[in-house]
Amino acid sequence: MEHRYYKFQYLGQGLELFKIQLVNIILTVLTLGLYYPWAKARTLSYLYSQTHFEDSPFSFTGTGKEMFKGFINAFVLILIWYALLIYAITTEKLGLTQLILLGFYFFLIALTPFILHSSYRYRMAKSNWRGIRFGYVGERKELVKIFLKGILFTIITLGFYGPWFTINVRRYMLSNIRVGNAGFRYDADGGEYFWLNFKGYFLTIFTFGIYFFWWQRDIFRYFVNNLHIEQEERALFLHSRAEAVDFFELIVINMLIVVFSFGLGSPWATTRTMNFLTRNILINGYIAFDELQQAQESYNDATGEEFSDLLDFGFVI
Amino acid sequence: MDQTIVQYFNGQSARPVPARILLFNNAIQLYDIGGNNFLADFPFNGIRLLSNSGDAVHFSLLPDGSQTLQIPRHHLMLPELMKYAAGDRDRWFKGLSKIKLPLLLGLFLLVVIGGYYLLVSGLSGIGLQLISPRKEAELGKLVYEAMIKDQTIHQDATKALADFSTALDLSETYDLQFTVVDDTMVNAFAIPGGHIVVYKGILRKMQRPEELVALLGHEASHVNERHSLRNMLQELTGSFMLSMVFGDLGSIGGAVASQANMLRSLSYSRSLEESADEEGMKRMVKNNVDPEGMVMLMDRLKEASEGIELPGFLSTHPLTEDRKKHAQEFARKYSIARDLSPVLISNWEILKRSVEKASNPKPDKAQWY
Repeated sequence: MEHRYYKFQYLGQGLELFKIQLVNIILTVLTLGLYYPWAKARTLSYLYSQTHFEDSPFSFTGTGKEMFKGFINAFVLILIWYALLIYAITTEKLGLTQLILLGFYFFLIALTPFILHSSYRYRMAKSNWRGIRFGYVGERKELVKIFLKGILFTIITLGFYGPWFTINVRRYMLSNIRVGNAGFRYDADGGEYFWLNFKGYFLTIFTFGIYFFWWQRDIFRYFVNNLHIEQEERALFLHSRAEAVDFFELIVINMLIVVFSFGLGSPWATTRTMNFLTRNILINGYIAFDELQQAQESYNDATGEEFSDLLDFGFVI
Repeated sequence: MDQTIVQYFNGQSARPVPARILLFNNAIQLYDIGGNNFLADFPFNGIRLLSNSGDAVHFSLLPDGSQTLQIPRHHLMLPELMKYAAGDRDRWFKGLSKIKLPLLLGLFLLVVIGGYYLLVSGLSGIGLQLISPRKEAELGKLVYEAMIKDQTIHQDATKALADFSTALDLSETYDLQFTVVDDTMVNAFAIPGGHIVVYKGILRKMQRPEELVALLGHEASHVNERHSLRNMLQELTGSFMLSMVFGDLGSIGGAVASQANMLRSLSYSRSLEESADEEGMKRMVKNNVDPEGMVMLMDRLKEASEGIELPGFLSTHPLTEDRKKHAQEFARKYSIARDLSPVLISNWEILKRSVEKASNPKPDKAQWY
């Protein structure tokens, strides 16, 4: 199998996304938010289907109905917490209120790995390319262990362990993503990530913010370049060619678009971001994608997906 | 490239299977290109357009998306297939998508702005119901104590003002408490829960008791109508909702939105002032005091504001000609010669004397303009 570059492009138009989101927002407002899962499914499936790898689109097969069930589950849990909190406030016992608040934060931290696990399972099972499903095969128990260790060490080291924690979670989760019978691998090291951010942080301060764009470039590069895909002995590599000036252009112009359009221009900003990603991630290697086999099972529970959405977790950690 | 050949992805592997298609029996029928053997068929109602960008058109053949079809852009059967492929199955979305863009944009603005106002007023209304006047008074007491800490209270005038107001009916729900601050600033304000603070400066400017009744009526209305609390709740729910909507856009969109929210609440406080004027004048009529006093009060404040900057009562809500005109209209309707009760007049005189007197033995920390 010869080495070659793979075609990766985004073909979506800002105007099309704009129309989709206009209708989504109108329906979401009219239904007092209940339409949200359907709106989300529609936006995701547009973004997926306009992203083409080797001339075939990705597809998002999650449905509003599935996500609505997840949405309700997550919503009820949050509602229960608010009910408890309001009850505690009305009893005017400060201790009880604090206890419930504290309890909620602990609950939230404890819940994070469960939410991440379940949202990854759903999102991956609902993503496919040429009909071949993605999948997340990580063990919940392992992720919980990584979290417990990470939180403990981060507290003990007064936060210095943070970059190692982040990389450990990322490594575990990304390395357990599969597409058919191929799998992702993420090889990164907490120490390198720590110095990268250390350097970025201080240089950004010393240069009055100018270095920020180089810092972003380094973070992105560290994320992309350490990711690859393996299928038996063959591999496929990702490589970032984005430079600081590209980040400057992306971030500053997107900001101007969103600010001056009072948010209405955000579909064009999203389109620019998608173009930026597909243009700047070079994919090369030896994998013959024709040999990709269906191997991942389907999964329909969207509770984690919606929970992470309600609590505003980023999808890529 | 042969425009009659399509690529079929069968869900087993990502390798395309070249095929020919026929459309009949409300389904796509697939045949292999070698021996024309039947491969599979898929009913139209499960077929969905996946992507229409790029060199080929992609269809999903099953609801779970596990099998797809790639058709060259110039395939003869493509137009027909596009017609059969179920678009979006969501009828609401389909209907709205057909609307022309400018109209859609208008509808969007209408729904969003309307929804925003309805929700903000609805949610803050619920909050208003949940907070009892008793709770509000407790809260107000804290605010009052914090605000009055650095001020000198004019004891005589405070007592005189309390006596003056006992002869008036200013509130049904709240136990109003009055304080005169020994300061020449022309200022007065109301704190939620019932504290009304009046500065010596504004009392000195006044020439008739009706003006004082107008001022007290205005401030009491702020308390009775729970304006501060309402404002606070509306701002809270407004910024909460904006953060929900703009959460995804990051902080920039949020910042823009919160500025817009501030603008809104500014205009809101303007309308609250007008409503306090109106309610204040109704109170005057109820207490058998000529509402013309409100017009006089406004003239007095206008005189005072010439050339100097006025804090509080005036600066946050400029005295506009509109407000005065409004007061005049109201006064014209209800103005009849009304004699003030002797109690009011005698209390007014005591109050006036006490504020005109040279200040307390303590050096006055008055600010001179």
